[in-house]
Amino acid sequence: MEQSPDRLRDWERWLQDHLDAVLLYARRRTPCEADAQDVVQQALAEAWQRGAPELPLVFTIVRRRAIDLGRSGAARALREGEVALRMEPGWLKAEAESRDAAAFIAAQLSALPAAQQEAVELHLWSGLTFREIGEITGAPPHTAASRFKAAIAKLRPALAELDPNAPAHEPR
Amino acid sequence: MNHADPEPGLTPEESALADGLRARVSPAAAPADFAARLRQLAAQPKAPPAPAPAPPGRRIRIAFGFAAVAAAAAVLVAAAWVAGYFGQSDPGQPSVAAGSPQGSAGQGSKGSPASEPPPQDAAPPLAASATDADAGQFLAVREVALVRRDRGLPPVQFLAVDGLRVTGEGSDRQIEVETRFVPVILEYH
Repeated sequence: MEQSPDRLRDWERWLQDHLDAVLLYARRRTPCEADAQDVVQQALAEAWQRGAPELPLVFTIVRRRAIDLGRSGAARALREGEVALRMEPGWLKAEAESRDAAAFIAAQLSALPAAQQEAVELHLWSGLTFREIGEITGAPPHTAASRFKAAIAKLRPALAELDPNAPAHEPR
Repeated sequence: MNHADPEPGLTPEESALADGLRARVSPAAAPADFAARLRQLAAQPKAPPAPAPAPPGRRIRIAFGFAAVAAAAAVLVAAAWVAGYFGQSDPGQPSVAAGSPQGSAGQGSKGSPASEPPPQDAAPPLAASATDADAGQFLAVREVALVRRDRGLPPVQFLAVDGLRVTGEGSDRQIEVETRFVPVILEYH
């Protein structure tokens, strides 16, 4: 069955809007780049079979495939948040500042607990709601929101360091 | 998850910090060759949905095993019934061996007496008790006794064998049995 032009256009737009964030999510949960790309491709192929891919579904599949990829103790520890997620500076790009800023923020992000990092990734860069994040991670929406809030609170000093105008302290 | 819950919100300060973070960094672009590969993925004909992977649970195997053994036992019981092993109320009736002159005498003659027993092989009668249960194909019943013995459980006095449903006495109402072919769970009362 040939694909319709509309479908191809939808696909192109989807890749343009979401591929980078999905690949970052997969990179951080798989041992190497090749595995990350395989997981993303599997997830997209699977999601596309069901129609236009919905972003939460794609993240859910990526998450599960990444867990399936390795049944080792390391994979289990990663799944259970016992170890830090991988973060390489090249996986983030700085929008308007120096490359150092991206590396600095990447390092700050990496210092967060895995669940908080995941909330940041999914909410900040993919625009998912906390309800959707909760469905992906198996947590209640308020827990997902709390993780994001905690992450932002921990990143506040780092952001203030980069931008003196940013609020440096928790509002009282 | 309660979908009636409102979406949790962020305070203005948290939103400002999130916006600031988003403005500074974002995911790096995917490698061009990978993106190109994914674009080709959509251009390919739509593949049929992959078959659902078989769930790894033992219950499937158990159900399959039970079904297989139950089917085999049902066939056997039906064959035995047709062959007249069941329902012979007269214990004194002499058995007729297959191929014996008596057995072959009535063959082909319509209207032969209904009471004439059909030809029988030398197989032992199918069991109504545990001691006889290992006759024929009732392997599972015998295995129950073996497993109980191995586990140090007292032997069950089987009262009847109805297909694979074993009626007897015992503290366990269910026992897992590894037959020679497949694992099954037998329930007995």
